[in-house]
Amino acid sequence: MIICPDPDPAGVAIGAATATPTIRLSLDGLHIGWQGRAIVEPVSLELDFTALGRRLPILGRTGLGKSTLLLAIAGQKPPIGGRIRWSFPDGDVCDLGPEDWRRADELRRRRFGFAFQEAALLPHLTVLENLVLTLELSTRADRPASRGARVERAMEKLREVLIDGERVEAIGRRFAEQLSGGQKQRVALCQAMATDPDVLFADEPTGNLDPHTRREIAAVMDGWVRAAPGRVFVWVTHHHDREEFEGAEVALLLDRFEGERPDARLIPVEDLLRRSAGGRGRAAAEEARR
Amino acid sequence: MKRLAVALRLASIEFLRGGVMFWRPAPAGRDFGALTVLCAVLIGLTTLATSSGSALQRNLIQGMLGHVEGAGTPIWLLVHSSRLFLGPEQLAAFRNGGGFTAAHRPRDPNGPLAKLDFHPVVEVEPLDPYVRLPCATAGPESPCAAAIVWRERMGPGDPPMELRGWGIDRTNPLWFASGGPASGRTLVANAATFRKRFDYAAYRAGLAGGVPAPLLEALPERIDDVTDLHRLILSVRLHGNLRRLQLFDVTWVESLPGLQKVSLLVPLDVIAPAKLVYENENLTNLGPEDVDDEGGSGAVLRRITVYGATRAEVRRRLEAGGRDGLAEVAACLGRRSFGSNGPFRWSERGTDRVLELDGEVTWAVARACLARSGLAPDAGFDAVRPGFDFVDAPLAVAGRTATARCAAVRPSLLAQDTRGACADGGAEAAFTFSAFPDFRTGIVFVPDGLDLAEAIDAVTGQTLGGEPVVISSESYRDALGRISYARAVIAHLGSALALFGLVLVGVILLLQIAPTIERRRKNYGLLLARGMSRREVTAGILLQMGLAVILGAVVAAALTELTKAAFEGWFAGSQAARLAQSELGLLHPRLIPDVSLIGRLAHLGGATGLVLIAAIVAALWTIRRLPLRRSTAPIDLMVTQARVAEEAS
Repeated sequence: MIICPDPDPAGVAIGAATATPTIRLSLDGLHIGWQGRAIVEPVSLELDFTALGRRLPILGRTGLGKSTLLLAIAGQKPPIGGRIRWSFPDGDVCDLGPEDWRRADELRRRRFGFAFQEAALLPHLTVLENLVLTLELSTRADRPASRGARVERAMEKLREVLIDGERVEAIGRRFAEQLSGGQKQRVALCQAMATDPDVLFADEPTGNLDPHTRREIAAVMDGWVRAAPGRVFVWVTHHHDREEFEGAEVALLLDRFEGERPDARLIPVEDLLRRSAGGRGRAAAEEARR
Repeated sequence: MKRLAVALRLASIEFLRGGVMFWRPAPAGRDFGALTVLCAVLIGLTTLATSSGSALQRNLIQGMLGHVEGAGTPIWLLVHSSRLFLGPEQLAAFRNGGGFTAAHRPRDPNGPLAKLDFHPVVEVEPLDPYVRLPCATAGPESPCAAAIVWRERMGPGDPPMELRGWGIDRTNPLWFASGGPASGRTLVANAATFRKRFDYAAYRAGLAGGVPAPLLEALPERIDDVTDLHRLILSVRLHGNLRRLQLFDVTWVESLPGLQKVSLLVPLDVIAPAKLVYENENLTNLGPEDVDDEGGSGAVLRRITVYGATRAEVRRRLEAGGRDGLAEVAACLGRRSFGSNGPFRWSERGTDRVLELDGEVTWAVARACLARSGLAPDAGFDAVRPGFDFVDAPLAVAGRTATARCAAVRPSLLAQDTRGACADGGAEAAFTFSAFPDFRTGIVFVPDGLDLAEAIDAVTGQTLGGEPVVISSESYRDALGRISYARAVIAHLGSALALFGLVLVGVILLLQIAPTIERRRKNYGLLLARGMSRREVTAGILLQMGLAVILGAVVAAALTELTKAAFEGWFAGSQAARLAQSELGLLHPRLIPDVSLIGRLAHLGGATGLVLIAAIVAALWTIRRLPLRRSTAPIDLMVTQARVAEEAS
């Protein structure tokens, strides 16, 4: 089924590529920014997520536009210009641009899950109600049909992100204001993956967590991706740990040369880790000299 | 539709958890509770304001023209000078609206304007020949005791006020609104005027010695307030010039409404028979107490005879204890009302002693007096015997009609025979009390909610035989003109205030609604991010506004009723209320006169609608400014404008 029919003939050409059983993302001169002002050089990429290990971390220094880029490709924020094309293994193609942005509504309902950087729970609903609401709004075919099944699924997902000593029933009854920062972030992640979307986006999902919990969450996300062959995980992070990149082949790096707008490029994860280790070594030597 | 249902359910949950259930924790704040309270206050204030506007107009009318609960505003009308009186046919035609002229025919022939009823009134004056305060010490046609007991002028500043009464039918709303009983010898008295003008000590002193002792003893020796007086003795015409003193039960009301100061209401079934026997001296106005010593009805006590008064055993009885039993009985019976104007006297007929009574005293009263002197006939003493005459032309009263034998009715009165049976050779004439020659005045009650001017036009516009039936008095027309002007002024002021109030309600609501919605900006972004549409989010917000207004209306309804009750309680004890009761004739003065349930709901519904519209406009305006529009992306709502500006720079 084509959920975002596009009269553009170019769409047919790209649609032909969807015969391969993989999720593909094509960015064609994508301009992202705020209030009509681009903050990153136009991005043009062709991504086959199967080839990339179904994981794509987005990296870069603070303020370079990582989150903005993530929001754009996740259908949460329209680009200033250019096109975004998502192709799915079942043949669905969705072509998005600034003028036809409303097509993103159905993508969010059916294909995507998004864990926001800051707490993303409705404050007047309990944790469990927040999770169930996500399932209710989803239009995925495999969504639990009955309310009881939805509650069951929500509890199951919640259990996956809890740590030792946290009980599902107790956490599920709490409101957002009764959760710690780490709990909020884990529940937000849980909410994003509650529908088992095709693509799970997360904006710094481990940002507020201690190293131990971060590793646990990274393991949870890795397990979620591995659990089904069609799942893709795209996330923004500023942690350069091996655990963080577990399973990822490449990362999308936003970098800026002096006086220019940042641009985005793919970089192998191994290179990234090497550069990161070198950077840390140089910083340690500098510290020792001082 | 499914997502819309989810959105509405979600909005309801948020509303209920937003402080509306004040006894439960509110995890996301209590701003919906505050909004509901604000709506309740605004609806309540608007309802009170609109009610007060109507209340001002109604109080103006009631204050000037009077008001009877459940009936409306009484309009005093006079029978047009072209006719002497309203006969039964004219009244019936009047009530059926048969004589409306084309110019004044009500738009709705079955509407309330076409069904206004004319209630005849007989004015009862101090010198009334039919029913009046007793005149026990003077002649029949002099002011006698009335002038003594009714102090016409209290002081230099007090206007003179005559003892004025109205004879009205018991079906007259004024009668039952005053608490007048459905039957019995009874009257309704105005406590305010009696308190000012009625000298009870003089009244009782005037009666002492002139009234049979058993009757007098039914009255207390002294009273602290007129309302302590549960009975009054009035003089009622019995037959020709003959009058009889009768006890009336009194129902007190604080005052009686109308432009006239009315002190007494007397049922027509008491006045009309007295009037009939005055005009037709063949007839006798009998009551249920007119029974002989064996219980036979229609018997008038004419005399008491002591047979063989000179016999030793009789004398022993008459003079037992060294007293004069016959003199005691005469003294107990008091004075004659008419005729000799002196005390009752025994006359000698051989060895017998005879006391002529002529029906002025009933056997029950006479027997009580005889018993006090030990002369009542009993098994051991039969020298004293009553003499009865069976009345051959009694006026039999039943409800609102009296009947009499045709032969006893004067030809001039036969025209009033309701059934016309006498003219057809029948035996019995019937007189309906609501259609008598002297009924030249009457009242029409204009129900609340009807336009007074229109109602008066409809009533006075009726004609019978080409001539007007009734006219309104000059004073009413003048009062109505002034009221119309005052109402027009209030209406203009009301329009200006309503416009100002609308703006004020809108601004106040916006001040509460804008932060309530803006505080949830991020939540709406989250909902969009999860797949809810903008319309569904907007529908949820509008539902919350509706819930706040509806719940506010329920609270406001209770609040308004409680406030009204509190205001009424406060007003009831005020000088203004006392003035309304004692001077303006309002039986139940109210700050906000009662309106029907529909009227109250209309006020509440109007206020609720106004606040609902203002709330929706304020919400839509705020939603647009969030911005929650067609082009809005979820993230636009989830980051602050400052963050957007920072990112853009």
